[in-house]
Amino acid sequence: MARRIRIISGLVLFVFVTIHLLNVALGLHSIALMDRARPVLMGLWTNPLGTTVLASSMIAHAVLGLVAIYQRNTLRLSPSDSVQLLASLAIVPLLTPHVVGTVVAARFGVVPSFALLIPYFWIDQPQEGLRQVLLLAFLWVHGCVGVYTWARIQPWWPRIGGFLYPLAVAVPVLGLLGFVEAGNQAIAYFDNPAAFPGAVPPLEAPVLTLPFDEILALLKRINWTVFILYLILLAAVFAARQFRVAGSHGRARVTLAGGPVMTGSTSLNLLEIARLNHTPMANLCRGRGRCGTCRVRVLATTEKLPERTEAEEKTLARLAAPPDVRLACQLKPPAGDMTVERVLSPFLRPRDMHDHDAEAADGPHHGEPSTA
Amino acid sequence: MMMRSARALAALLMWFACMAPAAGQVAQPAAQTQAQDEAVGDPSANDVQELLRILGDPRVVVWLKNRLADLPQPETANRSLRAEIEDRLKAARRRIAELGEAWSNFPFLPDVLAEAWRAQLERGAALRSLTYVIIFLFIGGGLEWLFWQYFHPVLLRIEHTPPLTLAQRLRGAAARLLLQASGLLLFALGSIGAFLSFAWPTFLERVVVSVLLTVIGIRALAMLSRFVVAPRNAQLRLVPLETPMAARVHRWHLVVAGVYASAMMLSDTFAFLAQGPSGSPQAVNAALAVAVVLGAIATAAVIAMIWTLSRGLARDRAPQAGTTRRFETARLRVQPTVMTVIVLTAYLLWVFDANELMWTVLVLGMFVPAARLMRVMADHFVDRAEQSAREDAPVAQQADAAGSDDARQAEPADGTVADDPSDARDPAQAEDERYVIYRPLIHRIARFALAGMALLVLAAAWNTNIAALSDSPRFAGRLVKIAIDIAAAALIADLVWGWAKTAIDRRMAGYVAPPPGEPPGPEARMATLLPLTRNILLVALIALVGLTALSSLGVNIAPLIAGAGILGVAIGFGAQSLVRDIVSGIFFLIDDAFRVGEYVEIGDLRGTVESMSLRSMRVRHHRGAVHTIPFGELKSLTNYSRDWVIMKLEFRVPFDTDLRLVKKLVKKVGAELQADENYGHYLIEPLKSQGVRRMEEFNMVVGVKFMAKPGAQWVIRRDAYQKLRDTFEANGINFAQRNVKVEVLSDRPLSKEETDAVTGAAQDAIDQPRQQQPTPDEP
Repeated sequence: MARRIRIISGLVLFVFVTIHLLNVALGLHSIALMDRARPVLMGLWTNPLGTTVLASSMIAHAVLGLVAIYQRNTLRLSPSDSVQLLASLAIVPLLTPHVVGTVVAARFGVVPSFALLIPYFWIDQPQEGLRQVLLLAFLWVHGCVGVYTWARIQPWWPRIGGFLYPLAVAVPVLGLLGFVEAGNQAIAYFDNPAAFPGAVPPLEAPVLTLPFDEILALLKRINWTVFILYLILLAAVFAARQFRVAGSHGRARVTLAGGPVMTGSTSLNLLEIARLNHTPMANLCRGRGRCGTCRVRVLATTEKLPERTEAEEKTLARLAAPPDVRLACQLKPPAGDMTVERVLSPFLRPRDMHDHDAEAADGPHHGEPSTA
Repeated sequence: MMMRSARALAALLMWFACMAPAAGQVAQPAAQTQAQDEAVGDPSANDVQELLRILGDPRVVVWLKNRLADLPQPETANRSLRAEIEDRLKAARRRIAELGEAWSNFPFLPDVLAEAWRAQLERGAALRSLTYVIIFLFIGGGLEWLFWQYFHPVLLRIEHTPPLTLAQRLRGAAARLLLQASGLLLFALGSIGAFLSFAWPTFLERVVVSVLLTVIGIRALAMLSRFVVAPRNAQLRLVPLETPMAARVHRWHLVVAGVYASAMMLSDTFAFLAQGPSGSPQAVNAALAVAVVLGAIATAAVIAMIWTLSRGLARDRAPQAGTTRRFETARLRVQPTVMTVIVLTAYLLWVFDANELMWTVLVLGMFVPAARLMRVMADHFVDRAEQSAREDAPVAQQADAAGSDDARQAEPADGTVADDPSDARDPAQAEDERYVIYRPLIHRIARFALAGMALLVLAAAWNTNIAALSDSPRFAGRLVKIAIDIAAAALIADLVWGWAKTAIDRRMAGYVAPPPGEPPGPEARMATLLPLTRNILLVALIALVGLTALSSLGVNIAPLIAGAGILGVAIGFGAQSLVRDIVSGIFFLIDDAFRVGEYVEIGDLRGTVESMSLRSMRVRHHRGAVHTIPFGELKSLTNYSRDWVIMKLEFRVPFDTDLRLVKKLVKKVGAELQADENYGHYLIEPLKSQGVRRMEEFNMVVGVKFMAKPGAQWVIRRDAYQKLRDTFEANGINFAQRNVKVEVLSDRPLSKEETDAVTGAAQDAIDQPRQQQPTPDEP
């Protein structure tokens, strides 16, 4: 259930960001066009229903992210996981001023529009512009890693995945270029308004409910409050995780049939032990128990293995796996010795995953690597 | 109007025409222009305006520029050495004054720079430029990511497929480099290209581009380091380092590249800032001070890298100090000191703005270490190639799996494999030999490439264009051209000779002269042909290089070649039979008709081949006579020393002999002969009985035969007869003796005369069958 909510809320947010970026990309033409297209493109989100969906997605995704951090068995993550985690940590402090400055400020009568914000970002407060760019970079990388991890185990991925890569680059690049070009137009306009008439559309005089300075001070306070709360929450989650992990002291010894002997703490699952021992193991969903590519056959064990988790049971049932097969990403080896063998090649590609003939032929010794 | 403009143009033309001649005549045009000035007088204001209008015409400007470009540069061409030195000294003095000023201004440095910076980048533009840098890095990174999305599987395949042959290894390394370079290129295009497609203020553009270039430069250096050191993948490593050491070397490379590129970027930016519109003398001095400090930091980083890495290397190699390692400990102790001195000298020279000298010191100082490094890399490369050639055999597979991430670990496995006397080794050894032949070739090429590169760098540093110099008609230019021509010819000849000599010597070293009494193997033919080939090649190469040198010196070699051709034809006619001898000799050798040490028959001459010359062969008869036979005289040749001979023996036994017993005894003797340690192994088929070959008047002829290696049959025959005789005697079989029964039909005793007559008649009967000739081919 959590998995489903996470991916759905993530997809909603991703779609929102994509549309927003496409809107910004129109800055390659003019600021006026950006503002004209805004109701069309963002209309989906500005109605009450859209706003509700968006806000609940954001909250759900953030909460689930904190839960996921709590559930991490180790902080020595794989490269893509660490990229995703670090990017997600950076998103909240970067995003808060943006959301507060647009959504909250609107309540005080400051109508957010590109004609207002582009000069603000590029001329008045260049550090805010920098913040937007960093936000976009982190947000997009985080979103892409997440969506890619989910999408590449879907049956349709091998067919159309190759066409989605260019989009993943084109959308943020166009957005950034639009942001730059709009900024250049704004800078040129404010340097010499006569030479570039209409580069920045005139603003309607805002009807402010409070004096502008007070609004700014209020927004700033909100930002800081959110930031400090976030830090406290994060510290609490990390501390709780540390507390949870600190309980287990045993060492598990896992022998890979025909391969190396791996050791690790009992707080780790088999996939994490393998990664920390530089032993490659296929895991297309990155340890989320969705794909079943990390499944291993347990050949011998000295201790009784823990029962299958719910997610593991479901995935293995879908794959019709025999009872001695377990998911490495869900199985926490108990202290003691066990011997397992990889069912799939460690260098499995997504397109091989749904190909059951290849699965049968791909023995565990198919591609024995020299180095991890 | 027209007239006036034409006149002005003509005057201009004249002026340029006067400037045109080489500087030897500088005095003369100066006088001329002066004279003209006096004759014409000052131009009117109208004329001047007209001239300005004409000069404003872009066509005229372009034409004049082209004209100007055609002129030789008199100042640079004919500066005397003395003036040059004086200039340099002056420059050095000026530089020292600047440095002193920069030093005295050091405390105000931050203020000055901050002021200049603020003057250029107002209104938070610095922050904005940071935004730009991040945006364009993101774009470049995105493009590169896209590239890797499609090509990462290819890279993985390259990195995880252990290469088996040299070609595979080469292809793998090259493909990996190509992929990474393409990724970096896309990154550069995406970042800098996207940035430059907008219009920017000059200073901002400069700053952002130099930051982007710095990032790209660091990445390019890192890529190069990864190509050579391959810290993660021992299979693709080009230097003999172990994985932890390689990782350290790579880390240091990254650090030094980062420090160096950042220092360059910063000092370049400050220099640009100081020389820009907002610059001031203080700012220039401050920029200089910053550059000197940054240079010192970069130099310190390089020196730190040299010392740390050489200490690490020394520690790694210390246990093997006794064995012959490629890095010796003593050298490791001296080398960092030398390199430190070189780097420090180069830095000081750079500080004093003597860039030519700096480059000279760097190139000369680094040539020896670089050459050694190249040599080590080439050796490592060939070693690995040989190793992988050996690993083809299945025996080595598991050793490979165990030691694949470590070159050293694989070496013991390598040793055990070499001792393994299996037949599967042969192709691998052939492969080996090929690499051994390539090794000196690679060394030579690497050394020459390095020397060429060093020369080019030196020439560039001293601002001499070698290509232009060799085209210039002056003496020095011609000398350079001749030197280049001769060096190129000598280089190519040396490469060919190096390769051929190694190949031939290698084959010759593999040839072992057969011990006396044994037939020579097929290598004997090579032993005849190869020295010949080598000498011919040497003479041809020397002649070619000589001719090339002569021709580039300007000697017309056409008559020489023609003369040689005529001489060749004349000699060819005169020495027709000589040529025939040589050519047919080569063909006999290629046919492998005979080898040194073989017993041959040519016409009615017979004997052992003793030696071969270019023209004739020498055959020694078994009774000592020596025949010299020109190859041209050989029509057909019988070789008695090839592969096998069959020897047939026969002996006579009385009619009452038990033939089964004979067969059994022969078989027993055959087994004895085969068991003999001296010649048993020469027997290809043992002695066996062929049964009764024919019946004669008084006895049966029993035949036996055996097959043996050529040359051994005589000894075997001798012993066979001896053993057969002894065995037969021991078993009661007598050889038949020719006896004539004389039937005397009277019963009275014969008188003495009668007996003599009967004996005489019987003697005739005994003598009647002719004695068989001894086998003619017996030596």
